[in-house]
Amino acid sequence: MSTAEQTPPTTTAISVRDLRQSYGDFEAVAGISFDVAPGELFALLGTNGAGKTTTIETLEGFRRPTGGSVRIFGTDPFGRPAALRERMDAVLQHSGHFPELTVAETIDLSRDLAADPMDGEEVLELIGLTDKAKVAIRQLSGGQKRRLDLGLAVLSRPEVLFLDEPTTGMDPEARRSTWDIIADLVEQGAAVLLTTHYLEEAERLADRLAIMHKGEVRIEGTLRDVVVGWGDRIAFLLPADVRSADLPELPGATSEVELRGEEAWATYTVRGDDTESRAHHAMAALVAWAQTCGLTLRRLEMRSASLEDVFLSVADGAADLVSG
Amino acid sequence: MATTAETVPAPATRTVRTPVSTLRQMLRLTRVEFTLFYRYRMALYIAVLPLVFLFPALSMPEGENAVGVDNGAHYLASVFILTAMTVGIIHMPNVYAARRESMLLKRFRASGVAPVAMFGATTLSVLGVVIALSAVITGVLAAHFGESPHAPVLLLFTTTLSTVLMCLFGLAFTRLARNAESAQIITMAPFLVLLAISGALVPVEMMPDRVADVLSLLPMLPAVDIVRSAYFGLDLFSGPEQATAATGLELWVAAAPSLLVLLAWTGIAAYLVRYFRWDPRQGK
Repeated sequence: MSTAEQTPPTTTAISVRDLRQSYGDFEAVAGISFDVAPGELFALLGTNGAGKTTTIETLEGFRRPTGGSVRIFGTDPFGRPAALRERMDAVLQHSGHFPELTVAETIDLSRDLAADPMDGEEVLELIGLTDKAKVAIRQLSGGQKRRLDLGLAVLSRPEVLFLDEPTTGMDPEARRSTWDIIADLVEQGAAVLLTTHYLEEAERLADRLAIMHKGEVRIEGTLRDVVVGWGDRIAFLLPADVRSADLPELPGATSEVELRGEEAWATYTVRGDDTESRAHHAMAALVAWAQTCGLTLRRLEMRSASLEDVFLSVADGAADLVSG
Repeated sequence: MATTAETVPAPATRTVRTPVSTLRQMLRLTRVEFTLFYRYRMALYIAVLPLVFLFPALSMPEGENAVGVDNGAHYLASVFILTAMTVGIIHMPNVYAARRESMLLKRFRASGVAPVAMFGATTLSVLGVVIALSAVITGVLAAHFGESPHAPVLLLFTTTLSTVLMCLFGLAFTRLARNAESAQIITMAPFLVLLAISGALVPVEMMPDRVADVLSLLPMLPAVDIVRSAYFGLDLFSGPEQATAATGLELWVAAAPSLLVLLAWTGIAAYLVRYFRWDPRQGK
């Protein structure tokens, strides 16, 4: 395809079309597509080896696609063309520093290498390392180095930012502060592609997300789209005198009996297009059945799916059960 | 850390960016490279290592060789090139293997730093060290042997060219190293080979003609011949028996074939750097 044909609409900062990446016979990325707009954070989730880092490294311009195409503002990023250098930056999964330099020297160096950077003091304050300014990098903790990585990536005020597991090694407080920094960048108009193993991070930050498994995007959409497809769960302790065959059919739900330790639990998964009220209808039918039978449903619980539920089902290879 | 009150300036609101030129990036990184030379103990060790080449000159028996130059001084003139070779071939793989494994190189590239700016900066810092050591060599030649350079520009040009060539070779060898430690071991092989083919420790006159002819096409001997000719004002390119006094343009013309050999090797080394490995060899 020609470059002109590949040029995405101007509202797209990152465009991935049928991307494939192979290492010999192994296909690390097997034909994935997604877009990220300015002012949007797209989270790419998946187990280790799912192909997230390969995808992000292709977008960073380090790898030429085996198939398909990637574009940053309509330009092929491979080889990091000059037109993109000032517009994109990244927190790599592992970032190196000169261990002999201090934090302030490292920030000053990155500032001098970037066009129109943030003020050095501002960067230090942003990442909470003002009191470590004169400390050698080799003396920083893993979490502090990770905060410095983020500071070095944002000081150039990139329009496209790649974050490959940016909060790994951070304590909870630093992680939350980092989320604020990232959310602020997105609010200011940056297009951010995030990979993370912390699902709470994706839930908190992502406008849209995709879950990758074995090189493919298995599920994609907004957080609500993704969890709604997994269904709502109703569960209760199976009464002693009720057999599994006696359990009622509930509207839009499938039932099963599962063991939790020594106890047998009846579990319903409620799916259906009426996502707003499907759980209500199923629960009403269940309670009506219980009243008719004169039963008390002990430890009755009902919950919507979490991202973790969906992620684990994909990781277990049960994605086809999920695609509602 | 920061609160939400501190905000990152908006990327979308900035419409004009003045790109930092590759040259400016290179010069800024060169400043850092010099800082690292004295903060990184191994780099400092490599920087002073060539000084050991001075001692044989001071312990050689006095007396002139076939071209009328003191034996020690004749040897010492070759140390300009041995210095360039030693620092270039050992320092480059040492630091670049470490930087590659720590993902520093990829971070720089992800931040828009051109590879030529990184490589150029380290090469410039090595050149700075080589020039400083060359000043020491010149001082010893002048103070101990009473010899001053006859063609300093040709001497400086050849030393610079050899430094660039050896830095490029060093970068190419980085591909073979797993980390900084293995780089130190791996570079011993090219170091010893280049030392052996330099004609500095084993005079080329003692070698068979065919061997000497081959060595004159390899990267060390032509450089050693040029710096000796430039330092002593002699045309040594046809062997000591045919050595004649030469100055200025005569020396440049006589040195041209050897310079072309060095330029050809520089081109080959630059080509090999295309295969520089950016990804770590060890799992992260």
